[in-house]
Amino acid sequence: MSLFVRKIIKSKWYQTDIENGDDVSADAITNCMKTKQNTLSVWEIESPDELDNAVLAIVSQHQHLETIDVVKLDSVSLVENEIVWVESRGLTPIDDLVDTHFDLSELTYPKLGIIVTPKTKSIWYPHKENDDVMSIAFELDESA
Amino acid sequence: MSNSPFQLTDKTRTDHTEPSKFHIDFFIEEDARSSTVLTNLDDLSDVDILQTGITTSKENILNSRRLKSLREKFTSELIYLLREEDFEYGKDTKADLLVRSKMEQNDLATKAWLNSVYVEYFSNTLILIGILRIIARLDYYVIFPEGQTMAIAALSHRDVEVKECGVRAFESWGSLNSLKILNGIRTDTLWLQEYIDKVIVDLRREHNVTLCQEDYQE
Repeated sequence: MSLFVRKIIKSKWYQTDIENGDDVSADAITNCMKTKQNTLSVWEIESPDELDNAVLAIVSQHQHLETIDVVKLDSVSLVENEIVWVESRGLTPIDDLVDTHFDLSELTYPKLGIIVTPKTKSIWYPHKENDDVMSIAFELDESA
Repeated sequence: MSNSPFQLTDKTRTDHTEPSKFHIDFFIEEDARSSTVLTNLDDLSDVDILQTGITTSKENILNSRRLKSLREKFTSELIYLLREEDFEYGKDTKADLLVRSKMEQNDLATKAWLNSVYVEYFSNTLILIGILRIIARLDYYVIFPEGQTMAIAALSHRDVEVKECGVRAFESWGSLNSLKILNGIRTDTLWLQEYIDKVIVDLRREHNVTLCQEDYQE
């Protein structure tokens, strides 16, 4: 089971109490889930242990080393909800990670809603990428 | 140039290389009545001001002139960029580039300008967050002390996102002083308090600060 990782701004998701069932705020969707050509850029990892790789791929495109937050999307849940993805060459100087980039594609308003809504259980936990970058991961439960 | 106070006092001069005693006296008098001078600052070039040879007033006038220019010509541009631009942590925005270019021209006036915009828009969280994100990317000593003052004010703001940006600024600067300030910050917002605690741990490790007895008691 692979996971897809995407950078988000955590504070936008906590504008509402999503862990207790509140609706996701519009800011969270428009700031963190901005689509291009109906696709959403994500980085693939095979297990949570590889989260560092995805974070590295993301921050390698940055001009500033700053704390970032990421969300992990479970591929099984995406398949169950008929959300498809296509390989898309990643913009990173790290050759080993170039092929780990994908686009969630053919997205529509309802499908985007599925992606951004944790249906059952949400788990936030801190993760240290290195001394300078901390990421916070949001994991969709498998049964979502 | 023709309307500058400098030239109005001596229309016979065709060059500005050697200001006369008369000019300098005029400038001192005018500077004492600064409101008069400042209203005409846009008509003075930096060369005109520098050639007066009046050190103190020269610096004040240059800074005042720059601040006035920033307020009148660039505040609306900055506000527009902060409102309209998409922001991503880690990536430069046009607002970053605007502020950095102004900092290169005159950091003293630019810091005063940012501070004044910050105060003026203190109830507008979008603008506050934007300014805090920009100053967090500037070096601690370059933005000192206005940047730190703004970040401290953010820590007591009622909006959680503004507060987070204050924490991020101190995290980014990473100074020992950041650690002292963040140590005293408490919030009811769980995720933010966890973030603050994490930053404190990182800063302690970075500065090799061990826990004291008071920390154990908390």
